[in-house]
Order: sequence, then C-alpha cells, then structure tokens
Amino acid sequence: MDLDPSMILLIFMLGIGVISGIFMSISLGRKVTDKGGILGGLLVAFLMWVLTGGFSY
Amino acid sequence: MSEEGGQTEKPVPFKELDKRLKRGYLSLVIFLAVLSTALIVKPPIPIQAILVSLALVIMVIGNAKIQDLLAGVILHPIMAMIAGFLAAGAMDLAGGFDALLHGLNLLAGVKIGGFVVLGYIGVAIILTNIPTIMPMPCGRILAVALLPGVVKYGNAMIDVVKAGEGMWIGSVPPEVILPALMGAFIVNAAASCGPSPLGGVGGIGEGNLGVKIGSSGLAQQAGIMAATGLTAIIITFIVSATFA
Repeated sequence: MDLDPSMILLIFMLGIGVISGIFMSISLGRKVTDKGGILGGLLVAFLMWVLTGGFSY
Repeated sequence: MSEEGGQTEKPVPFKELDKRLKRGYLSLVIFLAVLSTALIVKPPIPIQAILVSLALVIMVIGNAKIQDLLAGVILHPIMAMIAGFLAAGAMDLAGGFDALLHGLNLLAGVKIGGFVVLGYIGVAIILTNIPTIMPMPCGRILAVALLPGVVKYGNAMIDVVKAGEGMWIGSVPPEVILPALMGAFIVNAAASCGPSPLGGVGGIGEGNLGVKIGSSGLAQQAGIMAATGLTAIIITFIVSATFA
C-alpha cells in the first residue's frame, strides 16, 4: 500500500497526539484509558495537521 | 572610527559634531541617566510610565514626529507579548475569559449517545495545545492572551474534582491540576513560534538553511505536542511528591 507523505505525517501525528493525551490524562489524575484524553489528543493532532497545511504537504 | 592602511582615523571632536549627533548624545545621556536613577531611586511609578515619558522627551530633543518614531520602532518579539497583554486586558474587560470558561465547560459536557465525548480532560488537552494548533510568529501572543483563561479553567477543574464529579482516581492531589495545566500550556506556547507559517524562530532557521518555509512545521508540532504531555506528567510527579 502506497501512502503519500502527508498521510504518513498524519498517522505519525495522531500517534503522538494519543501519547500526549495519555500523558495529560495521567498528569491530571485520570486513568490511562480515559477516552477524553485519547480523543482530545487525536483532535489536537488532526487540527494541527489541517491548519499547518497537512493537505498540501 | 575607521582603520585604513594601518592608521586609525581620529574621532571628530565633540564641538565639531553635527547637530544630529549632538542631539543623539544628549538623548543617550538622558536615557541612561533616567534609567540609572530609576534603578537607584526605585520611584513609586511603573517603569512603563517612565519609558513613555522618556520617549516623549527624546522625541522633543530629536525634533522627531510620531511618524519618525513609528518608522524607527525596533520590531522585536517582546512587542508581541505587549500586544498579547493588551489583547488579554481588553478581553478581560469585555468578559472574554468568562465566556471562554463558559464555552469550555459546555464543550466538556458534550455527550453523544449518552457518553461524554471529551470531558474536562479532553478540553484541557485542546486548551493547552491551542498555541501550537494556531502557531503565531511569537508564542507570547497567545500565551499571555490565554493564560488567564487557563488559570480559570484549571480552578474550575479543581472545583469539579473536589465536588466529586467525574472519574477522579485519587492518584494525585487535586491541587496538582493547575500547575500541571499551566506548565503544559507554557511549554506549548513558548515553543509555538517554531512551526509558525507566518514566520518565527522556525522560519528563521528554515530561511537560513534555504529550505521551504514551513517544511519542518508539522514535525515541530508533533514534538511540541509530545513535550506538552511530558511536561504535565513531570510537573505532576514533582508537585505530588511535595504534597506527600
């Protein structure tokens, strides 16, 4: 399967977003599996990718 | 003073200086004297007022107009911080931060099919990452403009936890929330000028390397996002240890 660089970056950023979200959840006293933390991290990563020209990378 | 052929040119005596340079000396001496006096005397007025008065005096000495002053303004990121403070002050007066808190609370309570989607944690993650989601040429712009909102949201989270709402697991004291949130936000905001497509420290680096402006933006954002979470967890461990 061929993935273009922007898609690879998106997947990479979503992964980092999930890790960051989990870290934030733990630091704010929630469980590792807190879905708010994971969803928040995913949303943040996606917004960064969109607003910094991820589509045209 | 310049050197040509190994001989040093003698500086022009003070008396023979042109008017512009004489005025320059006078304004420089007044500038340094006033600042030194302010340091020693510590007057009961803010330094900003002294600096503005000083600027007016120097304008009179230099026979400068307001257009000349604006043309000579040194553009520095610190000015963005001042602009951010002004924006924050105006927002506070206009009730912007109360509206922000209200909006964030609404967002935290959004449910789909009976399940809370983001909750307070998800909204906290979005809030702390806003400076890098919208990277400005200077991180201070959003840092100072949103900091009061972050403090209010952190306190609101502490209140929610103390009221026994949410899934608090009790691993850390509720008081840890605010420093963790603040630390994460500050790291995020401080680094956010790196990936800015509008120009910032990252843009300067890319320009010097001769690569396309913004080409490293997404990679930098990923790093900042990771560092934001990491900062929060480190602060939590440290602050929790001090509470124990």
